[in-house]
Amino acid sequence: MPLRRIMRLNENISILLVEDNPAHAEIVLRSFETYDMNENIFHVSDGQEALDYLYREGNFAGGNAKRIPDLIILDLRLPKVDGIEVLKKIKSDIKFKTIPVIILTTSESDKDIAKAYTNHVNSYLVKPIDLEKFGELIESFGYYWFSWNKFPVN
Amino acid sequence: MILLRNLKIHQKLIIIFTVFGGIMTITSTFITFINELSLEEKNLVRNAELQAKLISEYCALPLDFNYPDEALEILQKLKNIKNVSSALLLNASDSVFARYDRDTESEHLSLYISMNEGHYLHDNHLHVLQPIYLEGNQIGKLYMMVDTKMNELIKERLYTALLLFFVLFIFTILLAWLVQIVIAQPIINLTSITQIISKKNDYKTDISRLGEDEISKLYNSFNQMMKTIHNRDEKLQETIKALSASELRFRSLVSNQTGVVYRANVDQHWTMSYISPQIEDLSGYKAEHFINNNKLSYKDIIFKEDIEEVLKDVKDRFKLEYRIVTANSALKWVHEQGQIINDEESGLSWIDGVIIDITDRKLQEQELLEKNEELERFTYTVSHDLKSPLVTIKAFTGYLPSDIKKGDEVRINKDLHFIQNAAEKMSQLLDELLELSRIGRKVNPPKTMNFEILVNEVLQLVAGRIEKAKINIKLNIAPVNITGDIPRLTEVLQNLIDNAAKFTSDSENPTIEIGTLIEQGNTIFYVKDNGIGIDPRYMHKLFGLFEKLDAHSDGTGIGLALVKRIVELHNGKVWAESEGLGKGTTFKFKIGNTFTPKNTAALYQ
Repeated sequence: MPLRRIMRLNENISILLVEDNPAHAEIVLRSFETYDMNENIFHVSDGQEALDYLYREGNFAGGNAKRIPDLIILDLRLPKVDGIEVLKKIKSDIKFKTIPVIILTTSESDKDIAKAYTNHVNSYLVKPIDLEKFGELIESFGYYWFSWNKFPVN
Repeated sequence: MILLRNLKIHQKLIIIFTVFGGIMTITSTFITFINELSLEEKNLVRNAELQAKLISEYCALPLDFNYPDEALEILQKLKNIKNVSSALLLNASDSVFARYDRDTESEHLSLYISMNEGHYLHDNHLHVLQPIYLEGNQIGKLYMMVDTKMNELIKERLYTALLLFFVLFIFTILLAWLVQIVIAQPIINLTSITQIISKKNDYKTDISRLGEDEISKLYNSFNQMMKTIHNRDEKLQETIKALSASELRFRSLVSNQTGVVYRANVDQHWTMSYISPQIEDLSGYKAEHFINNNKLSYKDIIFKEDIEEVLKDVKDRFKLEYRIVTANSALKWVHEQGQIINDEESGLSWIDGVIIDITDRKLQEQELLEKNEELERFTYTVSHDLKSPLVTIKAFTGYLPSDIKKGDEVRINKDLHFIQNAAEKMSQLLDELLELSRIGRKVNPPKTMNFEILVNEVLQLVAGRIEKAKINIKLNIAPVNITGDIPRLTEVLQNLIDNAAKFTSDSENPTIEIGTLIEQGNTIFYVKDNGIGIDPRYMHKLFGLFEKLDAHSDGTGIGLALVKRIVELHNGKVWAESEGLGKGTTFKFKIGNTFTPKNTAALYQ
């Protein structure tokens, strides 16, 4: 597939997936299988875990330091620390504010969309109920972010 | 006239009539008297002269022929004329020829012989001397003395005059009396009527009079005037009544309204020239304390954080909402509405305004806001949390055929597991949403129940889960009762025990303790576990609707929200205490004693 070849351009980027619903996380991961990128994706299941990952605190403290992600896929409704709170933290921290954050949620509420963009989200995507559409979304998503998009050099 | 001023009108009339009548009567009587007297005298003289002439004619011949006896005979005819008292016939040489005396001879007669011809009146006697002529020659004289009886005459005339005077005088008085009755009496009556009316203030009396004369006109005008006064009086009374009613209304308006009315100087302190007493209810400070900043200025009680905003907004007509600090340090929201008034005449400016306590409204707004947020969260969840399992089911039923085709058993099992979980989650969510929506809508009448009995009933309901997880149950219950909607309170306990069971399952020797204790005089019910505990950072999210602290737990985020709502419907409070992760959690709640089905129903209508 020519798509795969183009995609390889950004093959080294790392992605942080923040998703509390294990089923949804599984769907996202399976969708990305076509891009052969799953090794680059790190999954956390709540907002606090996401922050801990970024700041190397809690379970992520100590030696086994992970690299700072190039892209963050963030759900909105998260246990403990809400998605919007996580977004606020990221975008107000000089270390992380350049990381593109993409909201991937089931919520289509205008308020949530407005809140996300107010807090400088880079993109807002709604999870389609239909699997085929979900696949299409992830395909376009990968094509865009993994092939065309230029990331800042750390 | 000054002397008459204080006399009554009929006295005046009588005096005036008497004085003037008297003077007139006396004058007329006197004139008549004098007049009559002179007329009488003239008559007397004329008669005497006539008699003297007649006698002298008769006596001329006897005198000439010197027959004294015959002359005397003639003289004696004078006997018939009563008045003549003496007569003397003299011859040419003035010696007495014949003499007649009615009574006695009067000595003084000779005195008058020497007098001239004519008459002479003296001392009540008329003396007449008549010369006697015969053929042109004087042959003698006749002297005659007539008693005039003037004294008697005067007396007689005087009596008549006096009689006349008295008759006239009586007439005068009668006239005065008549005038008094006809003219003065109505005026006097009018005076007394007016006095009575003015004393009693009764202008309704009708004093109208028939007639065209001035008195009747006076009466009728006066009557008209009284009617006018009466009408005006009635209108005045009505106006006064209306005015006092409106004043009363105004007063009760000012004193009964919850708002504070004030008039303040235009300065930075709201120096009050008037502030209604309700300020005490509002702020706890007396009105007098604010007047002229006696003890404190109004600005002093404005909440510090709001002062800047308030000062900025006070201009022309203004509406403000800000907080004040009351005497007992409580914060109250107030609405102030006022206007700066510039009086051009006096050049003064002031603020007139009203301050209203809107704390309740603000609380309600706050409550409404919270309710709105909850509602929003609710709809959000319906779209998000209900959509989530749908996305899962759709996705994995989509993966399933290709996984079966590949014969990838691990994947097939995973797919089925996700589908099953999502379906279960969905049905659980729907059940709990239904349960949540029932609260407040269906209210059971309050009942009082022994708490231990209630706990034992609940434990039977959750027995399956407790046994499966091998959880120890400890009871530490004082003999207390709990009052309220018992089925709902059962739900509270069931949720709390379920929740505790959920998070103690991984602990060593999992234990749940249910008990009561007394804190600050209130009976507190608690459910304590030795489970995973709560990170204090997320304590505020604990009771939020659809909030989950653990992504891996199988809860829906409704259970504790349900607990909170039921406890609050009982005017109670629920909270959690935990020393941190891994240190267990204690859920505590208390029930207010004012629970009635009515007020809970009202909350949810």
